[in-house]
Amino acid sequence: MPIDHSAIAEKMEALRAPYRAWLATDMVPYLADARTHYGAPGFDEERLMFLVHRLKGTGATYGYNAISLQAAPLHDALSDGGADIQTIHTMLTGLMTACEQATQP
Amino acid sequence: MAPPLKHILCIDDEEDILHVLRLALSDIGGFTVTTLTSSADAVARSCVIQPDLILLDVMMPGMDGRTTFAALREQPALANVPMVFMTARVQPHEVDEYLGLGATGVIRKPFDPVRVADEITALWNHYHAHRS
Repeated sequence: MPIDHSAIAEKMEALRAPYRAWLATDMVPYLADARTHYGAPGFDEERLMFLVHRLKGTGATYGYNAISLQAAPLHDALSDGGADIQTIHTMLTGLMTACEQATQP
Repeated sequence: MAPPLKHILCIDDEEDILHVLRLALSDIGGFTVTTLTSSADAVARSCVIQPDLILLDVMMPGMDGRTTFAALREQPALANVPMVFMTARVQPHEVDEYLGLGATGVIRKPFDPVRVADEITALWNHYHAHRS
């Protein structure tokens, strides 16, 4: 049976819409907050790592390549633990911008 | 010739990924798809689900993909079910490690939803070609 590409595209868009909403309502504010508080005592680095890993895996799968491209080096930097705070801040800004751009119509 | 691939079990803690996998493998690939978000659940239920192939995320909280793989392989009913890892870590030495564990192949994350069914079919055919 031939694949109905327009139906597939419609279903993919139905998945993208809540993903974009999650980026807008959860991820962008979270990344802004992480940028402010990263390195401060009590900052939950494990949660940051988990969410960056999630963005790395899901971004391009949902059609937002820039998210995965920004998340991958940040995930590596967080895993290695050797990057300075300024580098992490810059990477967080890049990832936040990619998430913001994905939410634009 | 490989028997037809019908039923795929996908194990990933990220529901975002499972939603797209279901679309890619069911709507595009035409397979029956079962999804589980917990590796412990997968170990408990996979032999009842009886999939033809298992697609398994590597990085999961609690029991990771490697440990889950080993636990599934220990079950006689799953001993010959091909298992494919999904991961962003696809450096040659990392892929060698997964294949060394006995995995049939590796799907790179992030994956292309339009192509992933074909990639899995190719791995399925490769598995059966080398088995016989």
